[in-house]
Amino acid sequence: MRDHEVKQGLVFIWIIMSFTLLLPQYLYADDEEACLVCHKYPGLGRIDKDGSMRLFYVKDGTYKNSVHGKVLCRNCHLNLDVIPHTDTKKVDCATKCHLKEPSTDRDFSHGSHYTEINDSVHGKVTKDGKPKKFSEDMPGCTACHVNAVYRPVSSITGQEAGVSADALRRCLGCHENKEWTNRFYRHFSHRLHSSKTSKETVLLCLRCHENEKMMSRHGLVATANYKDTFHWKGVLFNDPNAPDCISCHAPVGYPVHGMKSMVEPASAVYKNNLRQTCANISGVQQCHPNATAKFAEGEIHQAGLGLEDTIAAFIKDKNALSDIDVLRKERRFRNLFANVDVDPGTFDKDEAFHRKVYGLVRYVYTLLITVVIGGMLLHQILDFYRTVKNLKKHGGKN
Amino acid sequence: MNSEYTTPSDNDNKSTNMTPSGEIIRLNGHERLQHLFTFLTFFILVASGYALRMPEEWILKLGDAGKTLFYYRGLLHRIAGVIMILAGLYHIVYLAAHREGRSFFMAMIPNLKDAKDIFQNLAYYIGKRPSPPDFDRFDYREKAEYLALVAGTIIISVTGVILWTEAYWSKFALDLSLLIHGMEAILATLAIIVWHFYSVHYKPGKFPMSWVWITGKMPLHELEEEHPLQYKRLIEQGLIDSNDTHHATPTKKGFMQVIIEGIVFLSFIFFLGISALLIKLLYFPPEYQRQDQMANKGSMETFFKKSEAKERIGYFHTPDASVAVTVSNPPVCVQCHGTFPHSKSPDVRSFLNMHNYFMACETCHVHQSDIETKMDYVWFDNQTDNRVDALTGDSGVYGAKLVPILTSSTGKLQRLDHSSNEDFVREYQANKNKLTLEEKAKAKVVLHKDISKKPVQCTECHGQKPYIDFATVGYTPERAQSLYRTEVADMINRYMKFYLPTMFDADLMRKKKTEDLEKENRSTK
Repeated sequence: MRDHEVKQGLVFIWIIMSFTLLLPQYLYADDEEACLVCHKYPGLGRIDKDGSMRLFYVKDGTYKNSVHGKVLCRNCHLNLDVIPHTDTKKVDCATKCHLKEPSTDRDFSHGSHYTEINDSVHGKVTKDGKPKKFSEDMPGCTACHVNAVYRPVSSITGQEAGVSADALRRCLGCHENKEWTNRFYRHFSHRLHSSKTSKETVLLCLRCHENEKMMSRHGLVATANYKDTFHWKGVLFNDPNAPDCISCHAPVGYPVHGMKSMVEPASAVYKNNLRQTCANISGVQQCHPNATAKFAEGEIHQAGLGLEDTIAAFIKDKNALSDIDVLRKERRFRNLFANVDVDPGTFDKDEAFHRKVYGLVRYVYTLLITVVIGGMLLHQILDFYRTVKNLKKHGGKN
Repeated sequence: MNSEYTTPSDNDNKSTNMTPSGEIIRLNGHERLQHLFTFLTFFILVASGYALRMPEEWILKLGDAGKTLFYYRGLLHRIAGVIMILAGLYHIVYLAAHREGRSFFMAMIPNLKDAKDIFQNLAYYIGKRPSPPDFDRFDYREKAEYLALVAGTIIISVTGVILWTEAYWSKFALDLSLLIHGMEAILATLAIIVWHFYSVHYKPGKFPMSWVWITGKMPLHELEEEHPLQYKRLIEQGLIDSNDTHHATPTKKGFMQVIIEGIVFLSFIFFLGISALLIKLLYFPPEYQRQDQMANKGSMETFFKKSEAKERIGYFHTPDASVAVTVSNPPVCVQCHGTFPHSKSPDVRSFLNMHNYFMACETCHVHQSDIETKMDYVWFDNQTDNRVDALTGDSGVYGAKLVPILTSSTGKLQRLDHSSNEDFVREYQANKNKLTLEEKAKAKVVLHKDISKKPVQCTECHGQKPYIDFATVGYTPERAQSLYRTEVADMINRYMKFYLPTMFDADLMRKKKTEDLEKENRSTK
């Protein structure tokens, strides 16, 4: 009996101790708001009414090493007063968070990007401030951005991953707080390269841009055959300088958030800017430094013709190119109402001719290979038959 | 006819054309060197060229090695391309400047006899003729192959050079060059496999290979058989002696011979595979799956399918791979209820799903009070299904699930998450579309016969009189203590409004909260 009481007493003391000594330290040092008490569990989530996955898991170490690692949860997720969190506001990146931006000493905010993006081809509103048609298709911040984990580089030229101990040593000469200095190093060197790989960027853009339905709502052509290009091959093989979407549509000198439509002169892929864009003289990789105007003017990744289309075009002649593709027809129909000057879905005379020649060559070559290789195969099979038969007859020499 | 043999070269070459052992020089040093260059560069070019056309899944598997491969692939392709062109030029110079080159060229020119030979030879194959036609130094097969090689080399070199100097050409010219370059490559590779490899490797009698490309020599009996016209002419000219023609006697296979035959046989299978890939490339070029075509897959499925956590765009707080828990032998429950089964109780559903990550359904949904035998709780590894005694990891990422087990009087263990019911579940799954509502309801009663009406409640475990002894189960004493008093309790002080005690009392909560939420139209019920 006595032992039991003593044990209980000890447990009681232990609990008090842990509350007074351990917890505050734990709470205020690492997880000041104690959100991770629940949110550290990977299973914390549910399936929403519409079947979409809601995941509420935040990995502690990952968050702390991320670009937002110093921002408190409640600085972005406003109104976190209730558990379950039923009255939180949707995160707004234009919120002024309680970090001072050192150059102005004002509260930091991503608000300026909203102005820029609204002025761009991806903006939700038109120039006169009215919401665009199907504005829900337009990307918000998190459509492209995740809370990136710092990926510092240890050298500028090689872009090798890691922290340069030598550079950090120089910083620490004046900035003695190791944690702060290390974080600042990561903060700075993280921006020396893109935080996404080329492949991630391509897949990100294609999430919308290869969606035929979504693109046609906006009078655009879905990116159909980027993956047939050599550019994509480089991306696929993890070539560090492989051109992704950003490399051409927002190269050095052009804003990413303020990206323009290809028909606007301020776009990097506007016809007069193409040569410069292909050359990419000011980029890390000078892609086609000798690019001629002729080289730069072609269509890079517009819908190609499959073999069936090609055969159909070849047989039906004239208008077949435009008629075979039902989707293209639909698009034209929509464009009647969409008030778009140029329909990127239709080809001009030269382009249509090029495509036809291309399709024809492809068709002829396929036919040639079929006939030649097929004939050879037949010949060799006959040869094999005869040779084996003769060998049997002569009892097999050699 | 055959004027090339009237040139003085033949007489001069008497010594080189003939070897004492009854052989004739079929390919001289220049020709063998040219073949060697063509052969080596061809393989390098094919390998480095088709590296680009590998199926995408293969390339993705390469990971970082892909970067290196991509760099050296391009470099090698260009170097080999240049060497191939140089070898072609060497061949042209050889044809023009060397006596034997000129004779080679003259003998390669196709003539009317070749056209006749084709039909006669085919007639021989199908048994309409007793013997093949008499071929000259180069038969129609060799001439066709040579001419195809010449044409192919020109086509592929020109388009290759255009692609290399891309900045000076229009997109149309480049597209067309790329198309032709690729098509010609398919044609050439398939022709080499079907035409050339058959006649010098796989053809019975030639297997494992014709040695002419290395030794340059052809035995006279083979010459007599395959190129009788040339044989007869050489005898007439007195350049060879028919007495030297002796048929080879079968020799015992040496060890090397067996090895070479094995390799060549394996190469046959290998090239069969290559041909299949090329044919697929030609007729069924890869069509990548587009986003909108994948649309009807559930978002959860697509979420878990994405291998790299970084690709999970839209999940701002970049989750790691631990989110997708894989169980090698999943219980039947997940077939209907999924891996995030709780959705009805708006306030605690996420908490309950969180438990689901490291617990079997039956841990809560089979209550001790409904069962006569005493239940024990044991961790089982997600992959191996072995018992885990020492728990590693934290935040539920243990790689194991807590499962209630029963021990029978005979000492046999029964895992409650794999019930005797599983066959019935499978049958139900297979036939459920045919069942009426009533039948379904009846079946569901059977399906859930082991499941308690009232599951274990939150406070039963997370309270001072724990339902499960966490320390015995495998948690550290400290962790067990924190589970008894619930960490969540710490939050009470931090929030202005907190739905306790209703939060952990399912009955009360359902009554009160769902009413509220339905009013707000937030219920997922």
